[in-house]
Amino acid sequence: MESAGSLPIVVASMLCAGFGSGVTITQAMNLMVMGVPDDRVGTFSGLNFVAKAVGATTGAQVVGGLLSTASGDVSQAPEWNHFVYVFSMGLVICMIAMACAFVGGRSFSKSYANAKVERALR
Amino acid sequence: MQHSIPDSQKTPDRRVALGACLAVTVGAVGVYKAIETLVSPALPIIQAELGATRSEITWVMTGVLLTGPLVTPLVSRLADIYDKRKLIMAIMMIVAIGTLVSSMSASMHVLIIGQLLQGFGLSLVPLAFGIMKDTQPAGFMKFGNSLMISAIYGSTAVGMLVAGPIADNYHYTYLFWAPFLMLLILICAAWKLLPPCPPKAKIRPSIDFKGLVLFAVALGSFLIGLTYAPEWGWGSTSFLSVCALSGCSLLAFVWAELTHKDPLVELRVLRSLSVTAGLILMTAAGYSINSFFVSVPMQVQQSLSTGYGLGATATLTGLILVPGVLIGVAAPIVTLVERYAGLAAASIMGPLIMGIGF
Repeated sequence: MESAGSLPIVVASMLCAGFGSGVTITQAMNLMVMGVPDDRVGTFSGLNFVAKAVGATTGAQVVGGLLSTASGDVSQAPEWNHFVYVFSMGLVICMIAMACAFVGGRSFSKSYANAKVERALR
Repeated sequence: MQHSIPDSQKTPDRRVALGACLAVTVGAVGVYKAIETLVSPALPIIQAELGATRSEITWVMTGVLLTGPLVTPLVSRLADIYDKRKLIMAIMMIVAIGTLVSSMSASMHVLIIGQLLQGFGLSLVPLAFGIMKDTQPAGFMKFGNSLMISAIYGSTAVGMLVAGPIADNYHYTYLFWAPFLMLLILICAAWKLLPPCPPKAKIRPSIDFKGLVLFAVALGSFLIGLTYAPEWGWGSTSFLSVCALSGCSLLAFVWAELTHKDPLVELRVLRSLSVTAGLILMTAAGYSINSFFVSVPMQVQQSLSTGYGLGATATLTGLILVPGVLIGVAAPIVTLVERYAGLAAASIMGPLIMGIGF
């Protein structure tokens, strides 16, 4: 959770955001490639970028909505609390993604291991 | 592999022709990716200039991102039916018109129309990869792919760095002139240098317009609800009605996709948990990075008297946002983590680091 008014903390959070989203996107592509037949990888890589754009539009709009709440005056600066809502919301999204990634990663590892065992038994 | 550039052409000429194809496709994607983030450091300046509310101003970014997911599956399908060279030129023309509209905007509505048109640019990514696959020999493909990925991340960073000084020293409309001129050059280059890339098979898949409309209504109504929620109230009947419309359209979309012969999006593949997890991760990455790109400029450009603002200029804001495009350096690290700690650990690492960022 970012604290108010500190340039190093803002830069550090941007570094985490950039690096974290890089890792997330790379791993999302890996999971997708592993889960679809080889001849359909192209189509589903496109679907991945559509999902990213849907997330991006929602993210921008949710932030705009949260920062506007309770401050009808355009010239008035949003209260710090509203930024805290934005960051909390982001944190919740990341936690949900972590849970799904864990389940997805484990399920693939298991099915991959099972397939290996089946091949070995044959 | 279909080599539209004849193999009989002399080697140096052929190399030049291949390089020109690559330059045009990579350039088109690079310009679009720069457009996508160009406005981020200038958001508070545009808001002040046009007297928009904070939820309205986010439409300047949302506009570019909204049309992309709607148009991209359609354009990918059209690429199976028509010549990709003609399609890439048409899409670049629409994006150029969008930048021209934005550069001449004097109101929020006109600016948002321009941004919506620029959003067609997302479909340049699959088109460019398709043209590369059709025109480049197998040995060139790896180089082409890495060049494309570098262009995507490099141009995003350049867009942010350039946007700050322009927004600080000139009117915000100047932001759109450089991409407009670059697109005009790229359209001429594509017309002159790209060979025709007709579809490989003479198939005419049907286009799922019903799915497209339902997806547009679902996403559009949800985003409109989020825009006006601060005005209507988060628990108001209007907001809940719009959310209900979005939910019903989404259900109808799912039903339409499951019953269509050539669906816009093949939803059956979501049965695979790893694919579903991949899509959720991608959505979370998009959400997180954009919530930073919108909230950080709004925070750092506030005056010091607010207690949290840094009184930053748009130039400084652009510099602060650049680490947000570190995406390109992550791939080798993921491979290492996956090798030593397993797939599940590598999968949760990204959201964990993003969460620390929040």
